[in-house]
Amino acid sequence: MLELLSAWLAGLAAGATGLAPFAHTNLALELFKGSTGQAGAVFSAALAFSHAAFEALPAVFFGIPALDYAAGVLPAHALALQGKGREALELTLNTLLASGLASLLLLPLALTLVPALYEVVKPITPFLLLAIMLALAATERSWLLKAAALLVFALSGALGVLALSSPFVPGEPLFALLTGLFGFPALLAARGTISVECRKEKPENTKPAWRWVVAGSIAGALSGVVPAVSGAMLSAVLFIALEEDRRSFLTVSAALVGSRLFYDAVATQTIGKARSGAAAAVLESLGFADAAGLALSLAGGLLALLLACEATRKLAPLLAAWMAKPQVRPNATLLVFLLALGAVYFQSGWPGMLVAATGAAVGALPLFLGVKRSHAMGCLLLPSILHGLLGPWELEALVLCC
Amino acid sequence: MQGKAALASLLLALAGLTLLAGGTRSLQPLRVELTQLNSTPLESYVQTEGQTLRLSGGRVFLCREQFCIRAFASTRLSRVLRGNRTFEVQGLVREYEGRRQLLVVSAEEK
Repeated sequence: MLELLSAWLAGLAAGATGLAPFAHTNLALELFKGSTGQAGAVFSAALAFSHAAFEALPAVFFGIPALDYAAGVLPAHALALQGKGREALELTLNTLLASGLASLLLLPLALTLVPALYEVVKPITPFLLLAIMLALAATERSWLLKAAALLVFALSGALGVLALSSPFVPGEPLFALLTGLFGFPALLAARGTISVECRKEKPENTKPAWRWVVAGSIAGALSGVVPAVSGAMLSAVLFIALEEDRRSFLTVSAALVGSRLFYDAVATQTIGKARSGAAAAVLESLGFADAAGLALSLAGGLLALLLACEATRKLAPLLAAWMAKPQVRPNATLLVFLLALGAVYFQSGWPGMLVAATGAAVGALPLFLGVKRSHAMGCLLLPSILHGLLGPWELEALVLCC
Repeated sequence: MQGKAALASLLLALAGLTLLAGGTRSLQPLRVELTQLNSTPLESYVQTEGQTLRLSGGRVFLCREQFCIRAFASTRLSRVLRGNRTFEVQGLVREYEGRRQLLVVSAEEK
């Protein structure tokens, strides 16, 4: 019992590495791995769940796309640029907690209906994604803008294929890709000034809408239970649908993150597959089909999430106050830019910087052309479409041969 | 629409994509000796001299020591002759499913 408690505490503490924008869950797992068996599973679950809560802080305030949140950070950062960072953070944390509860309640449904649904959708997934992108382009007002939208889709898609399928970019290319395509243009759109939050009182309007929590949780179940559906891809599709409604997209994205954590762990014991680094660590510690072990790990993870959310809430005003200081405030944009750049270099070196710079050029195009930013989600959808049509190895070979 | 800024962005994006594609192409091909296929000597698969060995059936694994060489359907190991021969294989070692694997892009006799 004492061993389990110390493993859980260690996992909770190790999850605080999420406060560093470049420290992914897998890196923390690698750094702090130690326990085995049930204690190892509890440690991994506590680390993964608490990391998701801590990770929200730099993601919201600095707009650095945390890998777990992918596109989900975009509306949060947009709110932060308007001086509503704490509101966005509170909404994210409340949604994470709500999605944990929703995932638990939806578990029987997810285990029976979702795989069946996926079997129906699977053969048509690439065509469905293509249709979504074309339909999105069709929503632009004029033929010129529709053509501009397709140009943004094609360029971001080509960048996504090169960055994600080429061995040229080491580490986590997704991080560099999303930072370049969305993080840097957001700073550009803020026109050099970040409206730093100065309010001391607790923000209002932070209660998530349950329909979006449930929608995100179902999407997370889809990602956790069936193969070839990544959280980043689902987040991209949701972003296309909800780009104009920031709060709804933020809610559904955070719910997706929370439920993916839950269902990734569930999948290790129901289908014996690990869909993430944390899930692999749970599977390695527990083995297959250990329902009691899974229940204990999930309970530890959810409790760690609750405490980590509270700790993050306490840290947010401190960060906001620091950013509002006279000596920091005028340089906030530069600070955020340098932090993001440093994180990209740490993750993927110079090739990652090239990806981010190219992404910034592509990501700025929607601003200059007057089309929606969501067309740049081609960076995730085109690789997914080609992956579905060609297969992963053939796609990689195509990139190497061309 | 801001025409000049859009054009500048487009040119920068194309330049970046070209550099990335160039970086990918500059990767050095690997050289390995293929002597076995699924732990069986290669000559067992070749019946006649000069026969083309076509790797088919989706994906074929060529496992040798800790390397696992993965070829895709369209890859041909041309002019495989009897006896152990050395081939120049262009491909890429990747970690996949916990094992180091080589994705074969092309293979030619040295």
